[in-house]
Amino acid sequence: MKIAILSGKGGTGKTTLSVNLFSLLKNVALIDTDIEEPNAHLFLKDTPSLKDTVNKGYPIVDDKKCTLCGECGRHCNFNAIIPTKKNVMVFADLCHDCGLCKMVCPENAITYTPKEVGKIFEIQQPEKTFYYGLLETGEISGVRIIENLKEIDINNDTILIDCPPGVACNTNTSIDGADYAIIVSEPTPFGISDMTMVVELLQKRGIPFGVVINKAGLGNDDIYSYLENEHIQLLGEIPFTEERASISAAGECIVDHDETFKNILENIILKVKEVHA
Amino acid sequence: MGQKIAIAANEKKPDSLAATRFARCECFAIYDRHSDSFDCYDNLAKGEPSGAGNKAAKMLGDLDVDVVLVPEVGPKAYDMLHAFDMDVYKYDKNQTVKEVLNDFLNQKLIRVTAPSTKGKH
Repeated sequence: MKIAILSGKGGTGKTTLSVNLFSLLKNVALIDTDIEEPNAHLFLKDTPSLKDTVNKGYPIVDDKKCTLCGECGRHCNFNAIIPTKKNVMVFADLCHDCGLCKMVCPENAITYTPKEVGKIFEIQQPEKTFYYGLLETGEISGVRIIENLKEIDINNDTILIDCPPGVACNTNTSIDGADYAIIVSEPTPFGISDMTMVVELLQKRGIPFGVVINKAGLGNDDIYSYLENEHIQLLGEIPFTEERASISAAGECIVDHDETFKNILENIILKVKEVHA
Repeated sequence: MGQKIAIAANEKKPDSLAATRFARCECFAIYDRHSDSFDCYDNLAKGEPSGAGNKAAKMLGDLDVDVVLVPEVGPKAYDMLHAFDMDVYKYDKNQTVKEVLNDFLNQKLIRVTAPSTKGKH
């Protein structure tokens, strides 16, 4: 079973829930797809090792063959290749490596050249598998890295996907193929506002989901009436305590120190499995 | 000095305010020195998810514009405008298209020789 863990707003506890479920469950994989700021590995005892580098192609135009007909620019959806009156300008960071410009060029003047956009790291333990991706500094899009992460053949019973915040391309790619999604929210106006975008996204993508309220007791009660009005399942509440914040801040898993927390997580998983079965 | 001068504008009339940004401005007012008249065009790039500066510059290049007056210009748009051999001048905000143009014609505007803003991704 593939479970995506996402939130909309950053800092609500996606990674906290992900690494603690990873620690608690047996025969499980965790993929940290927050390639702009991956941090799940900080909570794991072993040091990740480099698995792969991730390349993305971008077009190179042969000026000798190019007739400046403009077909490449007319077809590019991302304004990454623009013919001027003298030459063709290529903006590698805007390129999505779709290959369309090469396909439509009547002079065969375009070839693609690879460029490293990121890396994939791994930790392999018996019955536990962990991967994370890291975007190269200065690169705009990490979608290719997430696609590569999602293509890795994983045999564990449960696959947890710690998603990026927001609802843009990276998050959309991260939830591809998920059987279920857990939204981690916090009872603040900002938390609710961003969660509603995730709810809309998951509904559009047809992925069943429930909500975990983290840091319960802070903020206000609006989130409860929102969930009730929208008929969204509440999977569990994790009350905010300073102890839990301190354990996380020290880079430890809360399940190793806090029995109540562990029980809450076990109940969340039971509910997810009920819905999935 | 070139004969076709483009100004980033909020509305398609020369008395409207000049825009506060280049690539995603509403429209371009293009002044022709020979005919002493304005032609206004919707900015085809304003709704682009990425590379709006590139597309806006290409649009002006295709219209044979020689000089572009901007409030700011990003790095990609700057490179593109130069690739089309257009000269770029910067105006101060809160002026009308006509006022900005007059400043340019009276040589009061400063030529832009580097991008003024970074891309916001």
